[in-house]
Amino acid sequence: MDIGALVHAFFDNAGPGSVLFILIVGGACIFYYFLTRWIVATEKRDEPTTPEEQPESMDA
Amino acid sequence: MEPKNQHTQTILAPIRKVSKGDYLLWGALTALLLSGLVAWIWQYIEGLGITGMNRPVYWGVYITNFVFFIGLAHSGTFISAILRIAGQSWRAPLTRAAEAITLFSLPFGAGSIIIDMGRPERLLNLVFYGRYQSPILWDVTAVSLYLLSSVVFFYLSLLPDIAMCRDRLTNVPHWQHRMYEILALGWNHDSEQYHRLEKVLDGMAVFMTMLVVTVHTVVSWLFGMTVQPGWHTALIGPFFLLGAILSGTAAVVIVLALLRKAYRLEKVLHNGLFNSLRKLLITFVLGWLYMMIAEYLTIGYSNMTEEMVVLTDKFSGTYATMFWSMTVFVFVIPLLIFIFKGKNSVGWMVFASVLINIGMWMERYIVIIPTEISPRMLHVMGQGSYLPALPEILITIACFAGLILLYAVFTRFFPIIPIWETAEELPGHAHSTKTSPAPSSASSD
Repeated sequence: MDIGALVHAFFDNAGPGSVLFILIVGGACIFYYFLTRWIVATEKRDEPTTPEEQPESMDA
Repeated sequence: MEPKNQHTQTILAPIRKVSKGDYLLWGALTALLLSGLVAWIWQYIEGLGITGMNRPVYWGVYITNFVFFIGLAHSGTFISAILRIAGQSWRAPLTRAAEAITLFSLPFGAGSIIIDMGRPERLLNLVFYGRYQSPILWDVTAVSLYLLSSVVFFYLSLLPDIAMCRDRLTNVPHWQHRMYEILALGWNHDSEQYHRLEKVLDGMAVFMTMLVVTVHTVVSWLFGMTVQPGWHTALIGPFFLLGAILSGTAAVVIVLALLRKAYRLEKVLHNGLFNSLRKLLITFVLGWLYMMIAEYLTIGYSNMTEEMVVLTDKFSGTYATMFWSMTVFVFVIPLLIFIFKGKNSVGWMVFASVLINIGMWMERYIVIIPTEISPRMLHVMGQGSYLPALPEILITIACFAGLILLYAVFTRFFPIIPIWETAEELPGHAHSTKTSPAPSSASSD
């Protein structure tokens, strides 16, 4: 396989460049989405369980 | 359990009520923004012929704004990411104010490119036919990734404070409270959440630092990869980068001083912070002076014909007034102020920082226009000329108004000082190592 020709084709042809752009930005979007989910996803130990324990702010 | 911060009430105070003054300010800024929008529509209908741009001056004030706003955007990442990695805990109260500059100036930087295009819909051609030979595609990739990462970095560090707004601000309008509920993503101040958040922010700080370097270097390569006089130099990357960090840090000083005054945050944004920024600014001003001397001495000594046309234009020709004004604004006056006056005076610091930013905008202008007027091959003919026209002036004013508007609105709905990052104690932490409380002399100017 001619790696040099492949690299050359990547830079010289319209299309592959934008695919890489979409992969980079799209990949980052997906990565950040799961990262955010991982940060906030913990057991909600401190959350009140009964209606009486709801914080005052919820009524605002 | 919420983080314990003695300044929580002070920091949340600006969020409780939107004053008439705020509405007036927002209204005035919106009017300016709309005038820019009208000018852009006018330009879209009539074409770029109504601007001051012509052959061979294809880039004018719009690209100046692009470089300037992207430069401003480096403030947040510098303060939040680079100083975070360096373990500079004093930066904690400044982080959000600086990151907000990044977040709100990037759209206007990136948007300036679209405004500069007579046919903005052709931006889609980058997606359909983009090729990696072109620095434009490098630039779009880098700026898009930077914008996305900045939003995430900003939002993640805001999460605990949004949750605090949700829990504490009980008398705000229902829609505002609902907004906090949605944006808080169910954050419940769990110690594990804080551990994960800090771990992610530390990791992202490294990545953001690399992005900062990449983005402004790639922006500079839009110029450097051409063979035009004044641009085609290997130094242009670090030259642009350091200039961006300089103007960004100066912008942080201005914003902090305004916030401190408007929202009475003297106890949180104490004089010590301004003094730390002063030292950084001295370093950046001197670093940038070194870059300029290295650049212009190398060009001048070579005495190459095309290069000398542009250089002479800057030193003693059409752009000499602007060039030497820029030198005085960026180097001479700020250095004198920082060394002799700025140590205990926020007012002088702000004055110097405003001068730096005016000077940096002028610098971006004279990097672009003289080369465009005398490009390689056409320098002998000396045909080029450029003066910004009305649409360009209106759109430029609108960009600055839009940045201020976004910032002003944001500070009325979200805490501009990070409560959890400046807390004395975090859930699951015996004692926070984040930051030191304000010194006793904090409130004095």
